[in-house]
Amino acid sequence: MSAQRHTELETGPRLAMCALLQGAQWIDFATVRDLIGISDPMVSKHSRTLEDAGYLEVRKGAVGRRPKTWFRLTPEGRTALASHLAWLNELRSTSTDEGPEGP
Amino acid sequence: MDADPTPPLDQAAEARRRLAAHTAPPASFWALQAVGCTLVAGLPIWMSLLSLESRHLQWILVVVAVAAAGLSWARRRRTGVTLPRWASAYPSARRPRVVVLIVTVLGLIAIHTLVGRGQEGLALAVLGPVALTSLCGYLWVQTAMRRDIEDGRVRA
Repeated sequence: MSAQRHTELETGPRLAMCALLQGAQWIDFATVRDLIGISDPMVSKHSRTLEDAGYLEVRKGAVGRRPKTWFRLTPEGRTALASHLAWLNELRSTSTDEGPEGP
Repeated sequence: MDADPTPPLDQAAEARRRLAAHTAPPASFWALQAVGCTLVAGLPIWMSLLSLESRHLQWILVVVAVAAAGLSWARRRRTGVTLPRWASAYPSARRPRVVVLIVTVLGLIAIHTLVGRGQEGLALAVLGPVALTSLCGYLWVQTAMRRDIEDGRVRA
């Protein structure tokens, strides 16, 4: 897997959303909102962007009479996340190797 | 990107840590698991004591399977998270799962043999350590699964 920057994962809480979904098959809307600590409109907005990028699959249904929405990462989303995290790690090790700048 | 890469990495690690903590089983799960381990490991004893025939075994196993599925459903509903079910999804939990399976099967064989020889008392004495070992094994599996979630190693 190549380390590569994915700009779609850089805005707002998208990286945290994907990292959260990486450990699960499906997570419901309310749980994503509560675990990341963002508002409902923010979850909707960023999930739509990730869905448009092909990184997120959205399933709508109901539990009893209550409508529910579930999210999961697509295989493309998993690959993009892993590659973006690898890129961030490379960037960090590069900046650590260079050390702090002198006076 | 000239910004420091540490905050986004920390943000991702924190999200995974929260998920791992959120999906950790509650104390009631372990209590039910202890009861389940004792019931399953002691099946030869219960069948002998209650004079059940082997044809009843399939119904007992059906009840155990339905109870396990119900517990899994309740956990999913409580947490809002569906975790991958298959063993290969959690690389660190593979070895603990195999060990738990071997210990449980060996314990069942030992208890079955003792009951077959008419030594129900000894079988009951063996049941405690076997059930406890299985329970500790499940705890080991859960710990490994939690570590995999925190480290982002889960394969769905």
